[in-house]
Amino acid sequence: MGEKLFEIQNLSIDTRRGGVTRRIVENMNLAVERGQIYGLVGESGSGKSISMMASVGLAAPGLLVRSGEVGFGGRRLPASDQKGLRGNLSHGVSLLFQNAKGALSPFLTTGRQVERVLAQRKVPKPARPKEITELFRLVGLNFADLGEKYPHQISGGQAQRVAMACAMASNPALLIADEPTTALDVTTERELLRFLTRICRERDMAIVLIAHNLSLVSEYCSGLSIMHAGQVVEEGALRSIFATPLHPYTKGLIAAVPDVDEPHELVPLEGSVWGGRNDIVRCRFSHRCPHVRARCEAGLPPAIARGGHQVHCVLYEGEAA
Amino acid sequence: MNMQGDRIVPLTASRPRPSRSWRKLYFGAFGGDPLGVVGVVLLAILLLTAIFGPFLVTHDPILTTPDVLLPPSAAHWLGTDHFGRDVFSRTITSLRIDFIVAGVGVSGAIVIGSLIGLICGYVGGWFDDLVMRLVDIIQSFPLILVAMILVLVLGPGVESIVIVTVLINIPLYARVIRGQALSKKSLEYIDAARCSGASEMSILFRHLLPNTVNPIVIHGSLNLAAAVGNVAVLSFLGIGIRPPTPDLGVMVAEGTNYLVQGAWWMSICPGLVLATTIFSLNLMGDALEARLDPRRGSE
Amino acid sequence: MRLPPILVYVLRRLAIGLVVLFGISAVAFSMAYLLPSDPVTSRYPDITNEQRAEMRRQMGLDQPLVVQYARYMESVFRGEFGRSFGTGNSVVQDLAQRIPATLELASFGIAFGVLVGIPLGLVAAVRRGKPTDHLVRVVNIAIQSVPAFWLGVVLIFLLYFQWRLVPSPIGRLSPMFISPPPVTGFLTIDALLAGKPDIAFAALRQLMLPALVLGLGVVSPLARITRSAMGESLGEDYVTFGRALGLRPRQVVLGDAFRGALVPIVTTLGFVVANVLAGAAIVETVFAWPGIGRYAVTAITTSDMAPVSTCILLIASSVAVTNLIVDLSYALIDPRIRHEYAR
Repeated sequence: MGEKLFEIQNLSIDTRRGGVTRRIVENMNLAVERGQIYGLVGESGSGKSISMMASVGLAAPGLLVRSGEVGFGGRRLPASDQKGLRGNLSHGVSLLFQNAKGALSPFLTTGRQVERVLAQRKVPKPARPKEITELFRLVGLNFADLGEKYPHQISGGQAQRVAMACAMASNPALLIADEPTTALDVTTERELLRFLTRICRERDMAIVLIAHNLSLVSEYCSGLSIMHAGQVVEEGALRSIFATPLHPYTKGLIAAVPDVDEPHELVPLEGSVWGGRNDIVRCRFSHRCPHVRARCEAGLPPAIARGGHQVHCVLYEGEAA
Repeated sequence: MNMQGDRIVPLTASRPRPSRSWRKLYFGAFGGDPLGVVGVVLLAILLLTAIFGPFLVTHDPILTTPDVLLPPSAAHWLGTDHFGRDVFSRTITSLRIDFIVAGVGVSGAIVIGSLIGLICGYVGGWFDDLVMRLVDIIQSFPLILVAMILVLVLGPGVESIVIVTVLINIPLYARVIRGQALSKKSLEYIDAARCSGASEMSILFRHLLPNTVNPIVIHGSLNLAAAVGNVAVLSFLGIGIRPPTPDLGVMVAEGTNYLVQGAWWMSICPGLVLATTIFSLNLMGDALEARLDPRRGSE
Repeated sequence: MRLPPILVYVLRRLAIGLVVLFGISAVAFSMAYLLPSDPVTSRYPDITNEQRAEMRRQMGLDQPLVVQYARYMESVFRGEFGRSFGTGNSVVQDLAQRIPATLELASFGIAFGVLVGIPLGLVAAVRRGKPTDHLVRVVNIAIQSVPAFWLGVVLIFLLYFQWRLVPSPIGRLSPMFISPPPVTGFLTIDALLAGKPDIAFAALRQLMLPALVLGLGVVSPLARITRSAMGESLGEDYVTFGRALGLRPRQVVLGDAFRGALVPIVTTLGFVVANVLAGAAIVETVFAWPGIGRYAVTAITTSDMAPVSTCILLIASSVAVTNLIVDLSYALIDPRIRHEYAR
């Protein structure tokens, strides 16, 4: 086991609309080691982005962070201290979003955007040009070609690389990448992810890779959490989860992954993510679950260690590990 | 939706409690927005005052008496003016007149403007182009000056003010409703109506028109506020409603000459009523906009 | 030689504008022609019918509309823009005296409106849904609801008659002071240029109330659009990403998000300028301000045709020019639009 770098504990988030409170992230836990690539997988609306954004102090206005703690590099803060958590940004945590073209400010040249981050880090002015060129090279771009261009003049792949240059400018120990490749075509996607893993090794940087595509994540990650409807249903080492998926949802997800080497019948998952009210405690997968039983009414059980990783499901309650 | 299969335990415990009708109105019409409610209550009080004005007045609003420029007292709640007329009674009577003028004017503009907009949006083509260019040009004129000229051309009087209020507000509704009709006419349910043999007229009036209710309600209440203000401005400038017919704008204008003598009540009281009227309409319009306009979203 | 595209664009807009203004002048003149009361009777109420007919003939008032319009246009091209029956001067002379007064009033008013309205909207957008936001909303609706003419009267009553905090509302400068030699036409600036700070201060005190009343009309639309446009741009991905990069909130909110909101704000500012020019008619009447607004109102009530149509033309053309400036400023604000224009 490596050294723990980033940790989320018992994070719960609510939204309130029209007098009804809904829990959109429930009791979430997550731990990432230094230099690890960690996958966070779930359908859209499962709360994966929301929880990660809240963990760095960027919870959208209107969201209520009810409980939880976030630890990063030895510093622990309550999750409700969003302002304090934002302090981690530019001090070791960086983010990458899916819509890179929209993520770059449309009013500044790409070079200037990178320079802003350096200025924030108090890099003296004369040293900046060299460092910008260096960062552009790191992400595989040529400053002379692109540095004077505006985001609307470059391609989506280039924009994602510029965004990466911005993110790398603060020299982070953790990069949270929220579906960074969704807007890109398949070849660019592979290229970018390979490239991310390379940087990760070179700079000893950890990555939390948020994705809805399990097969994509499985190629690059060593750790994995599966989220469903705001709850982590299964977590642990990627190998172990793929070898023995336990939670009915994980089983469904893996059954839905096409495999070129061993073709099998793809089984689509029935139903969609739940948008339940707060006062309903029962397991949020129970309405789509083929193994539903009376005990599901009592809600999601705490983590049960089994088969080398952890699962949250009543099916495994009381069984020997 | 079959998302909640039959395995699911009924959710009765978590359903919202049956609500009373005022609760429904509060959350329904104004989305739980207290400002809208304040606006409606204020407006209701003012409207009732205007409607029952003739029973509420304490004095004849146009009767000249020797008791000139008396400050507010038990006999004259808001004092008297330079002709010894009771300011309270005149204010209430004016409120009635101003509501009628603005209300009739804006309603007229809504009817004619919506019709023009509906036809423009639905028919399109050169007719649409022509009317919209015309609307552009009209809107580039300084409206208050144009309104002054039109009132003078039509001759002073309440009717002219009503007609001018209609005329200067037509472009607003023509534009809004045209946009609405344009955005709706290509929607599927219109096609469906057409396929099931509905006539063009019935599409226009039974399918497109009902969709314009929200923008009309929003713009209507805000526009009514503006119209009340404009009527008052015109009479303040000495155009339109003429003395001795009481009007809030006229009363403020008359009062300005007596500020030197300290007779503040002549200007300030009617103006306060005027401002409150506009305020209540704007509050209501703003709350309706927040509730009904999808662009403003939920707040 | 090929002109730069931006210049071609401006020239084309100006050409179209000129054509439209021609149309507006015709409409404005016809409206003025229709005005019922007649300048001869209103100036000489006691003359006989024969004298009246004779005077009307001399003034050319007995001619048909088309002939009168042709004469007016001829005078427009001579640079006189007709003659005012009220003042006896050419309209251009009258306007030359009054435009600086209105410009000074409008500039101070708009400056006040911008300096109050935009920050109000910014605060409301940043504190969206919080008590501050609701407070701004109420204040805004209240400001929008107070009729300018009444507010003027109330302020004059309280600040002048009751408390003597401001000088009497009799125009731009009390007769106790000598006007500085005109350079910019703005009394406040001209007095400073002439090295007379006391006169500049006196002029500023005269200007304060009318500019405040005029400017309040600008506050509410600007605050509204700033709030909604900022609300939108604060939700943009580039704002979130800026925050995620650890940039200072001020840099993200005032730098990126505000710039993203600036296009609709500037558009509204364009509309607002048109409203201010019309609103000046009321404020100038209340505060006896010798500007074009009051000139227009007087001309309308006395059926003075040339000034009426020229004032409408002047306001319409300033609106057209403002719109052009607004459209050009988009290119300054947003590089995407800049590149669009350059094509």
